[in-house]
Amino acid sequence: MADVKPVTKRVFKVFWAWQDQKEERWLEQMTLEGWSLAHVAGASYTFERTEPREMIYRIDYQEVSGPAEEEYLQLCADMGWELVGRSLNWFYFRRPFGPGISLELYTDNASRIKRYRSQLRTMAIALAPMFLLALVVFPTPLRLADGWWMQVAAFVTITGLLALLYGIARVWAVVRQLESRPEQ
Amino acid sequence: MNEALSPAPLTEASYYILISLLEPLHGYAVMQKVREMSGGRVRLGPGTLYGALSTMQSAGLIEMVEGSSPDSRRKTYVITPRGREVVKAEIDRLEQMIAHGKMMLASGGV
Repeated sequence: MADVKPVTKRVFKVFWAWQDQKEERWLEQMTLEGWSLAHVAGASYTFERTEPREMIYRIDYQEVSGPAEEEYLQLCADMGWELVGRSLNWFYFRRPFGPGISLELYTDNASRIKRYRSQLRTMAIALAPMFLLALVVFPTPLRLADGWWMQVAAFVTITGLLALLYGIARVWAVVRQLESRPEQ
Repeated sequence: MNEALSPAPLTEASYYILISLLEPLHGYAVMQKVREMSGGRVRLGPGTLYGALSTMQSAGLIEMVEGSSPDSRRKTYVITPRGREVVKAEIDRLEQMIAHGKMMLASGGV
């Protein structure tokens, strides 16, 4: 008997670093409608047709590799979280509801704050080279004479820099909001 | 006590993780131990637990136990002497807090 390939569909949707809860709810909604996440790459999500079910999706941000990454994934698996996708430093987990299980990857505020702070740190580190690049391509009258491509490079770099600054501000806002919560 | 050396207070989760590791355990077993000790009150998610284990290891409060099969993905940890000192200091701090609270309740209460 030939193997039946599951029906899949691909959806393109952009979620920024500070929109992870929105992204989790969207994935949960998709699975309620019978589409379970099978693969993630950036803004490309591949879903498999399954029966509609109520599942919990949680996205973690971890800067791990090698044995540390294996240890981390093993721990998550031991605790009942199935890894369904990975995109850069974001790990996508899924689990069913059940009695006595924790619905969250981060069960206290302090550790949740650390997770967002580490994202923030990496984004801030990326600022330095971006600034340098912007200085290099900044349009001066002399440079504009070089040609249209110089203007394009300047536009792209400065837009990228502004986008990064905006992203940092949004993630920082998440951190501040978490810090304002009373200690658990 | 030397103020400069006193560590920051531990979160409840970190404290329970550290005292669980007075005996060697791997991650999942720590979660079970903490849940059992606290009567189900303290739950640990993998993000919180993994983060705490990494941080404590960097701070020298716990160490990986050699001898657990090197290619195993489940690392076993145990508390270090420095970790024990931190536990003792934390218990002292908590006992003081309890004593002060009881004293204030007794003097101000009806």
